[in-house]
Amino acid sequence: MKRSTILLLTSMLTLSLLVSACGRPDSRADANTVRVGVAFPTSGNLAKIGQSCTRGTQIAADIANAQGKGPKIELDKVDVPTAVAAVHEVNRLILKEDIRVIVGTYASPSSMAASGITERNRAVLWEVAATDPRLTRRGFKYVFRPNPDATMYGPATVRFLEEVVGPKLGLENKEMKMALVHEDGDYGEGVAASTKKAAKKAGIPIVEEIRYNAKATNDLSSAILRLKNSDADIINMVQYDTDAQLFWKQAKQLGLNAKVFIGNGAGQSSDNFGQTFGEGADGVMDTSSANSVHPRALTPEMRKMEQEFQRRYEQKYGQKPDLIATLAFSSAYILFHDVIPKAGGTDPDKIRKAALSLDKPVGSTLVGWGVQFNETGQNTRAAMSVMQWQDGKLVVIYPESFSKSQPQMIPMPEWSERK
Amino acid sequence: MIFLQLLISGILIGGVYALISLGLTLIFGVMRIVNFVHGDMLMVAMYFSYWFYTLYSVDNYIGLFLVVPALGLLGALMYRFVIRHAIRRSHEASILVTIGLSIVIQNAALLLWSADYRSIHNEWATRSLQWGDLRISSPLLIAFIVALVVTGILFAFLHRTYLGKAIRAASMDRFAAVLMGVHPQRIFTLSFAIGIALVGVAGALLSSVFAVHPTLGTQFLLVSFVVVVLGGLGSLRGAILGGLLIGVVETTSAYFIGSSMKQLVYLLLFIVILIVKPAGLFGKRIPEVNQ
Amino acid sequence: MMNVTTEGNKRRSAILTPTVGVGSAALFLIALPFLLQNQLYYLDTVILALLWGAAAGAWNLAGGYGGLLSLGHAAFFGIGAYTSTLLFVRLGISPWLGMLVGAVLAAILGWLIGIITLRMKGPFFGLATIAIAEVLMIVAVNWTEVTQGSQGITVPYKPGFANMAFDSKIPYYFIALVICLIPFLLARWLKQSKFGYELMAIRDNEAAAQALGIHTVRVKVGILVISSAITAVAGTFYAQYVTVIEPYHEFSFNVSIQMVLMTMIGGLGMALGPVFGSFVVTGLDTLMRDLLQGTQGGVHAMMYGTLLVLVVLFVPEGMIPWLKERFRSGKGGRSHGSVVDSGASDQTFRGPDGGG
Repeated sequence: MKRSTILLLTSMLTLSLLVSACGRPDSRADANTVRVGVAFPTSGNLAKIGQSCTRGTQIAADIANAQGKGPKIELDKVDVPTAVAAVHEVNRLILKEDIRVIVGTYASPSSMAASGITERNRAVLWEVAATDPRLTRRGFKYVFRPNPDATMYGPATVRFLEEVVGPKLGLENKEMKMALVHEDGDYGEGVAASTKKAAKKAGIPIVEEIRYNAKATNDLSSAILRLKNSDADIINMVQYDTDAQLFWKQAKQLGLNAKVFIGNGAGQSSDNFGQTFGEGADGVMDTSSANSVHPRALTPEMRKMEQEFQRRYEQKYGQKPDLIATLAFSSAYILFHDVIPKAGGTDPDKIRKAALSLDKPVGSTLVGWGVQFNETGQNTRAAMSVMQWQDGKLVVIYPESFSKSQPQMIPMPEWSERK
Repeated sequence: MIFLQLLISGILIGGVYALISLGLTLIFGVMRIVNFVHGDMLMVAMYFSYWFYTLYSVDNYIGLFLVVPALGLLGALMYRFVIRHAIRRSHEASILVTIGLSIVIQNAALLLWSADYRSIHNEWATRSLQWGDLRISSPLLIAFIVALVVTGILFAFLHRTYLGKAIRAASMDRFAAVLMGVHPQRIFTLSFAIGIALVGVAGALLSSVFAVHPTLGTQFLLVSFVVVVLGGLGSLRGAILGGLLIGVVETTSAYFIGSSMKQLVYLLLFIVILIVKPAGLFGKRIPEVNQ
Repeated sequence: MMNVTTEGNKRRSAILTPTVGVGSAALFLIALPFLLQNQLYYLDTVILALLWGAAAGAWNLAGGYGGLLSLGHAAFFGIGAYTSTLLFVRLGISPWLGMLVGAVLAAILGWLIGIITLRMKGPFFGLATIAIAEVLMIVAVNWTEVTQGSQGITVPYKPGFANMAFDSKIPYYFIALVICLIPFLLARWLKQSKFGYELMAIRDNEAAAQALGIHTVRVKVGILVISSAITAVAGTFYAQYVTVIEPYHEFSFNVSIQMVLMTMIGGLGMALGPVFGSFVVTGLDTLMRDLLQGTQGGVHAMMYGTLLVLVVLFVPEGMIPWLKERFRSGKGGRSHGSVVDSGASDQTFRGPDGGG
């Protein structure tokens, strides 16, 4: 035992010495192949989301390659659970693997750190998941975000409340008391800030705001009791997976009732939420990019694409794509299908030119967005939707043009009236 | 009324902490090991419970009788093959070995079971008892009652049986126990297995309350350290009372100060206890660790 | 880099004229970044290894030489990162100055922690330090007006010496090298100074040291203060190099543990131990990432955990003494320095349980 351990240790050490001391000859791809880095957190506590993003991106590359419109795309996937890992891996992709375009990164700190490196080394960061508004506000040339940023959540929710919820409940804006409960990470804070701002502008009163640490919270009963006391009509949640489930279980146990429960992406839009609660999830709404919009809102090409995406995803991974995988797919597909062929490769300046020249109408991506990047690299046509759990499925209910179903259960029946 | 509800919620979540902490404090009491792998074993137990439920439709309350022996076995193996070698060295070695094991187990879980959040949604999972305006979560109430029952059984075992007495003897004075004919390695293996089996009880009961994922253990580990130290390292009664106290402190401070700050309150309490009364509120002085 | 440093070191102890060894090692360290200029990725690995080597080295001063098993050094690391970054972003103060301020703040905190916790024994000190780092994390998350909370802070990239930001990686290398040398040289100094002897005497037998008239509290607090300040310096460098800081990482248990693990792997209570451990871990990390491209995350973390368990169980003095022994078995005794070193680290490991 001991001897073999010693041998193992020595060989591990020697190997690491070898690798860190001498460079490996790279297997450079031929002219018709371009290599793209894919950097998401596939270990650690964001692993679930990172996996979905990686898978969505992979399917986007598979489909683009099958179409054969541009150069063949080869993905180089890396795991970036923290910002320092992001720096290290992005450095590796750029400096060692000579990759000029990286799709990533989900977590905001990783995204901010990675974009610093890509920009400095003249490489493109194609951000398909992070929502931190600061990402595209630093005057960087090579950062592109097809997805909405955090500032777009609040206005979308408030518009929905004004147009749909208010009339249904017969309440004026100033009579709709809203309470916020959100995790205190970057995502929760960012979305909550935009919601507060939009609500203030619309005259919707915020009667309670509760922040909590999603990673260390085992119990939300105090938060729920405060919400109960606040007597809010609308409860607006910004939560990750586990805390969203805990919240909903305890909301039922403690009898927390409100007329509307509306989340913001992540927790309430995760397939895990539906799996855990089944019909118990019904009525819960969620502001986010749409998982699947009504076919009438899509171009014919995208209508077919939706089926192909779902088929390939299920075939490859044995499960249905969740929302975050769909979003990553949609955004990566823009890069693989539109930008890289147009740029004829991955030269960052050509990519930038190709990306800025895109002018695609609403409905021309799988999730219903259009594409037009502004100078900062933010897509200005990343439209938001509101979805609702109905019969155990998450369906788009707003805006009208995207909706697959009508809003139901407004006001939400009290727990005692539900089965 | 709100106070009463906060108290009830606090006691219920406190019961959860107590249940998790029982094994931790037993292991410390007997072997002086600060077991950083404890939270991860909770995670493993919850996965077992989840798989029994999903693959063989075994309700988690029945699955308990499968999960607990399985965890006990894992604990015994872990002790025989890893911990035993560290315990001879020092606190430092045992802490570092359990930290290393924790990293290994978390990542093994990630590779084996993926990062998906898995949760049992059975009849009990979201039910609650109502009494006027007061609500009592059924699964947490069960966990609480089981925690008390398990403590009772453990107490009886430690005080009434020969093996139990041997364990207590070993935890009080190892040297003397050896002289009296107690076989220390056997006792340690047994105690470690019982400690891990206890966290198996917690895992089976909690698999219908929390969604399990590979890093779940970390969110319970720190709070169970707080509970164990507060109650007095090695004291079973202390773990129960400490758990309840932390549960109530957590819910009330979350309500009045803010959910984001509740950890701050119990961590500060923890630091103060460490400074003022390191033997804990209910603990005895332990010669190796108290001056 | 790694093999040559250690070889350089081995050679140094083998060759009886230390100046030659030191000279060639210095020459090598100066030439290294220029050798790696076309392999910037490896230079990046080396810089990160030096950074963690510095942090682990700082931990080793308290943990290895003082026997203070802190599991919350991330507190000081985070203070270093946050102080310099906040001063720079909010007041435009150069990170060089911020680095000093951070070190002073961390030293004050280290002193406070020392005063209140050093009476604690066994695992209590470690648990208390975990709690302190967690408290700072919660403060950094919630004090949003100052720290921007969990959104973290980005260090603006304005190249220039005053801003501690550079176009090339070479200046980063030299800064990291200097920071890494501080705890290394201090550790060597400890082995030949009165303060160091007192410290190690306390670690090995506190009661006996006290009986000899050593002011134990002052010595222990002293080493904790030094260790905290250097950890903060490493934190500042981290912020400048990575350019993004966030409370959930900088104050995390993982960061604390990393310092301990690297030291353990290299050799507890040895000057070169933490640096060696850092290079092994970082090198292994690089290797695993190279080998496992595209596979699911988690494998390299598993290897890392396994390595730790194996080292603690089978080579508890760390890899350096073990390697020395293997490569020199039969060729007479160890060098003078290493006798002190490994003898001392054995002592640290003979915990209260050793005696029963």
